[in-house]
Amino acid sequence: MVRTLVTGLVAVAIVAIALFASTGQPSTAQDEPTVEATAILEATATPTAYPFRSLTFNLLARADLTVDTSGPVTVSAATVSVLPGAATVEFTMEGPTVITVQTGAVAITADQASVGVADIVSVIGLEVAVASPEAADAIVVMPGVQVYLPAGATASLRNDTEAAATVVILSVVPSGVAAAP
Amino acid sequence: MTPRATAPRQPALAWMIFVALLLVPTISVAGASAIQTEPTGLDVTVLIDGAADVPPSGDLTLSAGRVTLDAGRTTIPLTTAGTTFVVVESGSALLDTDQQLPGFSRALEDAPRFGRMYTLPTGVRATLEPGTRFQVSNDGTTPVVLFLLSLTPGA
Repeated sequence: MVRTLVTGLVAVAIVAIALFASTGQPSTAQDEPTVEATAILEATATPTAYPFRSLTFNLLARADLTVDTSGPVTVSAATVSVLPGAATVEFTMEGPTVITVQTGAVAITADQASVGVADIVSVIGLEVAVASPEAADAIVVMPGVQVYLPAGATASLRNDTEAAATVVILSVVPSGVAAAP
Repeated sequence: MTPRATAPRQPALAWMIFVALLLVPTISVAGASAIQTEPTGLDVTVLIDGAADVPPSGDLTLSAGRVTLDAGRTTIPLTTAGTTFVVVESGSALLDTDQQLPGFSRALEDAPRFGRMYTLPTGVRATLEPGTRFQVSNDGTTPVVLFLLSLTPGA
């Protein structure tokens, strides 16, 4: 038994020595370096080799709009913090408007609204089907959902929950349009 | 020493009226549920209020998002497809770009990649025209949070 084992080990050692002797180096080594080192430009911060490793991106809203103007537009964005039990009065959109929720949940009532999702798939070419604007009665909107309100629509927000909510309101208004009273 | 940048942040009349509307207590209407509005229950922060051009078709794609950049990091070089607004919500960012930004006093001319470097403290907005090349760095010790809004011509 021991003799057989020793004989086997000796045989394996002989085969290994023969292989190394024929190539002169381990078989996993490469003959020439394939990549040359390059100089790194001095910068105040370290460039990110993998752009999403130290970067967190959160898409809040994405919507295709049609603005009825040939001139410039005014683009606005604002965050609105809504405490529990608070609400807005009814207000009118002067241009296409998108409302999205950052934290919490709000109820939106509008005479014209399209509810969709702010999804990263739209960035890579896949579009999420969005219904035509229709009346919405206190629909509850949470993070990840966006509500599109066309120009002329009226809407109001309210927070019926016990936690504060934060919404982002984005609007595109043709320059020179007077504010609604 | 990176120069401090200044940028105008004046809300439009529309937003001021909108804020005023938000603060008006709701009147109870017969037949409808009364909505009680506390004047202190709403807090509005205007992030962006700027101008952009519209293509003849009037079709636009509006995108908005938030980016958090860790301390000591730089984004990859980027090019704007449409008018892009960048707002620093927290921290202080370095914007390296090939464009002279309107509304800013001056820029450091020896930026590492695109030639002009601006310091964007919290609350400052930069408007980047279509085709602008830029990258953002965070040379601080805390994460930088950016709010981005772009308006690109539709298909």
